[in-house]
Amino acid sequence: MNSAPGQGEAVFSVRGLTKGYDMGEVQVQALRGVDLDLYRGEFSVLLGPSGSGKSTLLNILGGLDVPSDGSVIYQGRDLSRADERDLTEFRRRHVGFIFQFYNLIPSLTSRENVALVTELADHPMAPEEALALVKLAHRLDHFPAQLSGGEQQRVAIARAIAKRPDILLCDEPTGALDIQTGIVVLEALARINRELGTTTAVITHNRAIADMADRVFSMADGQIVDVQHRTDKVAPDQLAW
Amino acid sequence: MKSLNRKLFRDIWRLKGQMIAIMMVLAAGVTLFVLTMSNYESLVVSRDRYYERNRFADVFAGCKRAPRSLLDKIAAIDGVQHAEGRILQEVTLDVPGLSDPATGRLVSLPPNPASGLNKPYLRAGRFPRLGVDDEILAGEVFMEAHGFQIGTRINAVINGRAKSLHIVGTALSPEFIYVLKPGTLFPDNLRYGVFWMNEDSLEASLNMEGAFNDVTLKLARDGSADEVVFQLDELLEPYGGVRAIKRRDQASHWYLENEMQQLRSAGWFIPVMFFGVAVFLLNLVIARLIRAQREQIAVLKAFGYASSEIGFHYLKFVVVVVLLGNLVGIAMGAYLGSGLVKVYGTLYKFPELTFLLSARTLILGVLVSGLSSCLGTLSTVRRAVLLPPAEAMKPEPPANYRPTFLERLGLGRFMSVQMQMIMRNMERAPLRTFLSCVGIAMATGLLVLGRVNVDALNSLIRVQFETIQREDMMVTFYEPNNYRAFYELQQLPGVAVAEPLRSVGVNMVFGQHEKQLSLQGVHHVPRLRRYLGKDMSPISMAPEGLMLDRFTAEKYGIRPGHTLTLEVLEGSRPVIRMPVVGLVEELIGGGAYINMARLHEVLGEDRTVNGAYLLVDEPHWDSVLHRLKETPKVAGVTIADAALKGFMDTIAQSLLIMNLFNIIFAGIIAFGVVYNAAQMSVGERSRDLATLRVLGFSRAEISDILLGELALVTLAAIPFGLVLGTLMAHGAIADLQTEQFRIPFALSTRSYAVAVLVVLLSALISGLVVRRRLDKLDLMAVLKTRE
Repeated sequence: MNSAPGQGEAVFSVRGLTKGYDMGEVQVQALRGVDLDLYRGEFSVLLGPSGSGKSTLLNILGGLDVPSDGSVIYQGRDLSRADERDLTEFRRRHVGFIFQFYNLIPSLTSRENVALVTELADHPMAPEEALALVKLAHRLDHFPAQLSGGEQQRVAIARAIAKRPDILLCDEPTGALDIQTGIVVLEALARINRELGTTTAVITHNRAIADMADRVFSMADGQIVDVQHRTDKVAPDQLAW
Repeated sequence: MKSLNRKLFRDIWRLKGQMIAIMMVLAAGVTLFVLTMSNYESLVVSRDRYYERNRFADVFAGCKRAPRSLLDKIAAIDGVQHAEGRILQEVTLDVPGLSDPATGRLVSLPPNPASGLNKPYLRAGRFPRLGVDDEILAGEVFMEAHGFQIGTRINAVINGRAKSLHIVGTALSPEFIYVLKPGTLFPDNLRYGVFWMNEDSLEASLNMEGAFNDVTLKLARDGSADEVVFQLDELLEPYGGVRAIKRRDQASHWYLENEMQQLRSAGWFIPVMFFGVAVFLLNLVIARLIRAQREQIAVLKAFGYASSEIGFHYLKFVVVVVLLGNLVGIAMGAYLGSGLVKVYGTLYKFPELTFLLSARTLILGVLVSGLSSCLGTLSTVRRAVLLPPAEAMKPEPPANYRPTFLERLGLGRFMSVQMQMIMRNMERAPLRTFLSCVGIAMATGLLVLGRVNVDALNSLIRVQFETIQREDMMVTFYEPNNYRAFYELQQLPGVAVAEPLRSVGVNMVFGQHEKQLSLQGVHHVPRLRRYLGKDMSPISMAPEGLMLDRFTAEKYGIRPGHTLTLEVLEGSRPVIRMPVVGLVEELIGGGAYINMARLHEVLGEDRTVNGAYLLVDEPHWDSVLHRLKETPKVAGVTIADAALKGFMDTIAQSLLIMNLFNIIFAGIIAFGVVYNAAQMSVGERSRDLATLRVLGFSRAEISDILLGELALVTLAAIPFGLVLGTLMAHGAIADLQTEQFRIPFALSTRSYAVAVLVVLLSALISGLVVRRRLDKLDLMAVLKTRE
């Protein structure tokens, strides 16, 4: 019910998705029947407070977790029925992840962190090219500890896009950054979305970011409670933070 | 290089201290494995080649005097390929530069030595010429011990006549790879040697023309040794045959084989202990690494790395340690192994004892160390890698602590906060604490085990030379003599105490068992040569009945109260049936014992003697020895001290080196275990410790918490280690018990002290190394890290 009528081809089709966790004696329902479609080339934002289920949803979309019930159809393939090997294959071929805390491998340089992923891909761009896209061509051989938070996150973006993924899933990508740095990171995401046409989903609890999205899903208590189509999306540097 | 491999090498570099510590433990195991196995193989190959080329016989039998015509009958025994009769004779030697008489074993050379069995290997010079009756070949060890050159002459008393012998060559023989005078404990190459003499010369000297007193056989490929021995005994019996022995009981072969078997069992047992400790340490480090890299693992999975790829990545840590450990271990093992072969070369004489490091040994070493390490860490790696990525993304839940056993008992109020932290931490990871204890206990145990050889040897010497053999010299006659001969010895100026020696060879029959041994006549309360009871104190000889050495008794299930049949193998060959009335603890050899008077009685003789034990006043030693040398009856004089000193000189250095290695290797284990446990604690608890520093604890106080835990583990482990070591030492000594030797178990307080000291020192050093890291703890950085 929360999905919007078509504007092109649906990359993801999610229906009746539920996810429960056993926390000792209590059952926690992280998702309670989520329906949603994501379209090719679209930049969407999932908004919601902590505990609303957005990370769980992102993890399931990215094949990091499996739902308790419901279906996740990715280009005709039902991920909810996929086994470990299929999910690995799915992540390897189609998904790029960006995390709040960057999660770079501290023992590898920028270039090597990107290469870690391009080595797995079929038609990747060169690590240097990916880092140039996020304006880090001059920081190729720096270790994460030698980079600022914003630079680290841009390395993470380069790492995520270097294999030319079909979808880019970002979990609070600016959550650990100040405004200025956050904007630089969001600009990089917007540029990738625009230039490479990568379907992008960003989860955040920062409402301001919603202004740069094509569509905004609001989540609360494990459900999608609102969907907005935006025709007036703004550039990241215009965001009212 | 793949990025993941780069990560591998950088992580290894970061953990280099721990990795090197583990690598050293593994390398120590590989070193010992390569060292022992290469030497075992070198000995096997050199021995087999030697036996083959020099046609070492399969069966040996002695007799008094048998006609050469009997050899045809012996050769016709089914299963015999070749039979050779020869003459063996022990003679007294007067060796230039040696005051005491030496003993020579003369072996006859067939007219064409090249075609015979037990062919001497000519090391230098030439074989004696046919028809020249004073030329001999001398054993190499004898020549070396005296520093003799070819051309030296020595005097021998052969058949009561002095004869000057001309050494024309030096030789080795597969029969005498290990040269030991029968009935003695240690080789004494100054006073005992093997010599080869032309058959016709020896025949003439001993009036043995057309006869032989020893026969050796080569068996056909399908010949049954047991069957041949049985028939050979039957054929030789009328000629004073002494029971035939198979190759496995031949003295030189037996010693060599024994040494080799010890080498092989040590070569498995001890390295496996090292590999066990290495596996445990690898588990610790890998488990900790994986815990610390949970989120990195999650990222790798998120980007599509398969669990198997990630698992393999962590297994590569193990592979790198195994490869480096093997590289170091093989190099060290080969280096030390080639040195050990040289030591063996001085104890066991081969034409060539070449160091052999076979591909088999190398592959086996790599396989055993590699497989045990990989399999040992597989489950740790697997468990971590199977963690679902979404879960791995979340930080690990806080460690679950609870009041310790002691606190639950209500003892908490007696403990400081630091002590409570130490105890809770130990109780939280009981398996790790336990395994750390096991590792340290193993190190302690190995040290104790390593000392048992020295202690047992010392104890053996003490018991044998202070309690049992109290004589200065043992004199043996060529043949039984009447009591006058004994009086003559007793009357020699300087002889303080003399005791007659009387023994006869007997064949003991008990049920289906038969065994040849010597029956000793013993005085009621002997003063010089004494016999020990169960508590290792001297016993007196009962007037009636037999006593038997415990090893033989246990081997054949004989207990006091059982009656034995003894067939005497000399003189009128009487058969005695007598009950066993007690057991005797013998360290060397063994046999049956009977009251001296009773022995004379059953043999129907008037106080006959074979020799005497003498206690000689110090100033008269030389003159007594000189007189003995000139007494034709005397076949040999055995001086305990001399043999002992010679032997100790030979092996003292090896023992010292072995001890040093043992300390180094066990120290590596102790250091490896404590160092890794300490690093682990710092890594895991640096936040806690930094927090305490921020709260105002001093460096010393937080060190106490960390090092206190290590000290507790070490101290708790040491007693177990001492017990473990004692048990292993018992096992090792039990393994050494043979028919020829019983090594008394002994471990000195000093040995235990050395073990404890080495372990404490290793622990202390690793503690100090880790403390330095603790002192450099960056408070801010540690508190900021998100884990």
